[in-house]
Amino acid sequence: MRPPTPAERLRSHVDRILDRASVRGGDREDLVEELYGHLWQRWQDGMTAGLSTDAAADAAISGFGEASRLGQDMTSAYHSRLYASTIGVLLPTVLGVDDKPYGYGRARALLFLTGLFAVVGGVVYLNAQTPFRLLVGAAAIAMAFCMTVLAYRAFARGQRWALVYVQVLGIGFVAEGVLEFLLKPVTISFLGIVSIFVLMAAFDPKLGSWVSASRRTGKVLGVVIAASVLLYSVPLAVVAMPDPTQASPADLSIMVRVDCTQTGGLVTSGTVTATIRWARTDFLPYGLRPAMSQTDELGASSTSILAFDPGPNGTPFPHNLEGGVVGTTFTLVDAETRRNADAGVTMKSWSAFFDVGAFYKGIDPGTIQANHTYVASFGFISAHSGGLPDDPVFRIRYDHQGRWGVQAYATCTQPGVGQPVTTPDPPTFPAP
Amino acid sequence: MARQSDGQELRALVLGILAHREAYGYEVAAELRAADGLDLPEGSVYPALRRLEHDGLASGHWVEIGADVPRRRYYMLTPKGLAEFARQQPVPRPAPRRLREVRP
Repeated sequence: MRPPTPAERLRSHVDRILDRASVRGGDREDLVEELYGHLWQRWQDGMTAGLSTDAAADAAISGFGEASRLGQDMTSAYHSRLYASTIGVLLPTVLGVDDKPYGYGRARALLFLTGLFAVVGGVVYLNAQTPFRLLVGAAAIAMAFCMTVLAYRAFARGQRWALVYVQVLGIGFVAEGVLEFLLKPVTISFLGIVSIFVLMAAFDPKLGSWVSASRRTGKVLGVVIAASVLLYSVPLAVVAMPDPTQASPADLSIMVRVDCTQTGGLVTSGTVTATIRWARTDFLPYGLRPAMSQTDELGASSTSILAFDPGPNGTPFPHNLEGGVVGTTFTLVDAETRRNADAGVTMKSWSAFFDVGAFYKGIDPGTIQANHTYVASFGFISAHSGGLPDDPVFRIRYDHQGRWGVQAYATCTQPGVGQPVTTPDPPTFPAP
Repeated sequence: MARQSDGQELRALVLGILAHREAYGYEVAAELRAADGLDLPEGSVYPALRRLEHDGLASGHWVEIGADVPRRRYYMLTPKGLAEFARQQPVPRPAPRRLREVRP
């Protein structure tokens, strides 16, 4: 879109004044020429005084006065005081609907929808975020929302920066919509579609003329506009942001030992015991919404998983025990209370006993208590008639909501200590 | 009320300027700008000028200036306007010294 010339901006300001005045016909044509002549001479004088072309136009427009007040004053010059204060005020307002340029309604609609979606979407989305992420996301949405409201009001007054904001916002939504369409799963962005229609009008010269009387958008304001639009993407990014209110691998210790029963030099049965202690647990791990219900399925992203893995494929250990162990028992006990932690720790598994692969237990981290020691025991017997090799390797791994993990390896002769690991390490769940 | 009072003061000031010579809006605004204690938007002189004309106190006529330069609408007081000015004396108008300073 070609930026309006200073002369066009001066003329636009005159139009805006007279659009707000109840003056028609020949009087209006006279006033157009007279007011424009004033602005033109002021513009020339400004340049003579050393101002740039644009700065001189800005000075001429700002010194001339606010359009709505001058329009009202002009109405009162031609009509009685009663008319000027009633019909003279209302008439330009009513007629003004038709005076709005092409695209005006679309641009304001986008701003309105953006504000509405920001509030509704922000509440729904941030409600499930952890406290620090919620604060960061809410602050970003609040700032972005304020900017949208300001732009909504400023656009009605014909301010240029508000049009630039609409353009940047529209481009952002279209870009996001394209991205969502290309990524799996495919989603259709409502605001992206709306923005296409808005952008068709936002770069139209008619809208450019609508704002041409206002001050030009400088670099600083341009950066502020771009940053304020980007703020709307912050809530999506906070998911990857470290949250100091949540537990980390350093807060969890796991000690593992394996007690084996041997017959003829082979292991025929045994018990894997993991002693687990959280120095600190998550604060509001599910945000402000109610804690995860006990019906959560094992493997849900919000579920933490404790896995007893009797030698998975691919581990660099001497014995592959897959298919060689049958689970017999599993217990998880709070060592302080001596109660079965099932009463306090939400757990769900598909099967406590299966003969191939690992055993998994879902744990609701919201119910784990800090500074309590939990003892998890996994009893096993050999599925081989002759028993297991003399020193089978077990892996015990804890995955914390898919964000981080701690795992330990232990054998009959060598206890293990948990070490932080990169997650996710998706376990291969057996069919329920 | 304050705004109405401002309008009456501005009307009297414009009347005072036009009582001394005919002038166009830009000149009137420049003289008002040079006057002490006045911080009005320049555009506000035009409703005042048009009100004077509407009330029959002033009359305006267009003057061609030259190519590529907008015409100017000069205003002068009518006999009714001069009588009104005389009746309102003394009027709160810019100091004569200031007026001389801004005149070409």
